[in-house]
Amino acid sequence: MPRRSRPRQRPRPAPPVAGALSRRTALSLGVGAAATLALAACGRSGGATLGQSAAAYGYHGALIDPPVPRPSLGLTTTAGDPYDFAEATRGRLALLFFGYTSCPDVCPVHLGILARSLEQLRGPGADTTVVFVATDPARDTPARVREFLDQFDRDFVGLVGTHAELDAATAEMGQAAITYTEPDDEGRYAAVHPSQIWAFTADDRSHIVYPFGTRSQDWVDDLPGLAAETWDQSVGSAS
Amino acid sequence: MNWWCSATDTAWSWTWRPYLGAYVVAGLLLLGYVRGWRREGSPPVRRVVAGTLGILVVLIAAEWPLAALGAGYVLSAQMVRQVLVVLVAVPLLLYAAPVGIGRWLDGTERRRRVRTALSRPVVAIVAANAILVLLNTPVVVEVMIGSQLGSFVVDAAWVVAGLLLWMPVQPPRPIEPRLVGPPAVAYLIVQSVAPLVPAFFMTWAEFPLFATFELAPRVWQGFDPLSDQQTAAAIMQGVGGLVMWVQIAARFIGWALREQRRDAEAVADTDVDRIAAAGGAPQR
Repeated sequence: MPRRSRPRQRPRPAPPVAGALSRRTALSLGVGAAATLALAACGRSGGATLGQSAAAYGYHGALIDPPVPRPSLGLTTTAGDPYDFAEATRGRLALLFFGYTSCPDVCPVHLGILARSLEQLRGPGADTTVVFVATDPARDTPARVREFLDQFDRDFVGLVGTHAELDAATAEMGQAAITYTEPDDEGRYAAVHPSQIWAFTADDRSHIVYPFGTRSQDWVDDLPGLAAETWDQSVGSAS
Repeated sequence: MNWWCSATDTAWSWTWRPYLGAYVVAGLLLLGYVRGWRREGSPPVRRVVAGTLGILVVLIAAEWPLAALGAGYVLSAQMVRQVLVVLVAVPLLLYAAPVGIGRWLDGTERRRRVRTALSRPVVAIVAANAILVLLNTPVVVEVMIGSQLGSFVVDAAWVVAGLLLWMPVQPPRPIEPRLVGPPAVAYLIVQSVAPLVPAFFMTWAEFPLFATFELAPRVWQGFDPLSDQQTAAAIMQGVGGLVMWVQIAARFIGWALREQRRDAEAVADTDVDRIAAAGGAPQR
């Protein structure tokens, strides 16, 4: 699959952590973070910097440096089977997202857009594995996670775990542990989780993340390329 | 309390959130119309009913839940609002307008000239549709509906587009409509065709065109943004078209009946004259 040479639109920002944040706040934080990182990148010569645009590669997401190795995560599927993410998806394009079933905005929108994009794809990228890590063990029972994911795509893999297992999984991804807001009068609370989607490519690393705000068109443009991506050193230094 | 609807960053809730501006606008309209009608003496009941309905439609379009849904969550709801304002509320309000408004519009030579110019069919077709197409472009939608002021401007622009669209055929009394009968029907047919352009793009786009609605928290799971966009296009074409064609049909039937009556009267007059000429006693 030849990689497209056409530079993409302005890069989308990658908010490091959101989730309990409102949609617009998360976007604002992302824009701010990306702007800061982009400015930082301007001062360097050569090498990729965290948050640098993936436009040089023809993608909409934001590059991460150093790339994140494909983690094992050590969690369990909604069917109750142990799931080693690194083993199960080795050498293939896989997308990883942390979220929770009671999430009112970011999670269902992100997953819905992704599911719809995958439906439109034929050929490379169409068989992308999507893995959803449920970050709210108190409410996210395996059955509930399965039901939640089935609304979007029955092929989405749902993973559950204890708080300790989730902490280990987020640590493996280099992320802060999941935290929870104080419950309101009706007992509702939000999980504060990473809101971006990591794309793990054939080299078993994630060089790129997709923040909330990534649209269907972006996914349909990017996934076929990511499915065959080799992260050529000649464009930036993302690998 | 917000004064006008706008896109927000919160998940949808069915808890009532009133918009103060909607009540202010509806209240001012009601006050103005009631005062105008009182000055007229006793306007026909059908005009009072039409005016009341028009004000009610304005309130429905500008108030929760329709306004909240339309401004930030569901494009179809926004299209329902557009149809309600442009094709329902404005013609009802023009039909019911107190004669004071019509007299004011023609009160000075300058106002009359502006009104006459804007009532020219070509001007009305171009201007009304330019506004409506502009208001349905993604760039304008994204910029405007994110703030209460922007959303208010969109709603006000709908009113302007509606006034431009209806003035040639439904000006406030006592102004005579510029177009009646077949020309009015032809004019409305042209106006009903113009929305097909944006509706075409919304129907056949492979992806959601409007980021605000694509990224909005879902109100109904399963009703995805692309389906929403296609539904909005169907509302624009189907519901909007239906409203226009009801108007077209009503005007055509009204014109046909008037012509029929006039013909019958002409025939009766001829018979009377013939009988009188023959020296008979005409009976009418």
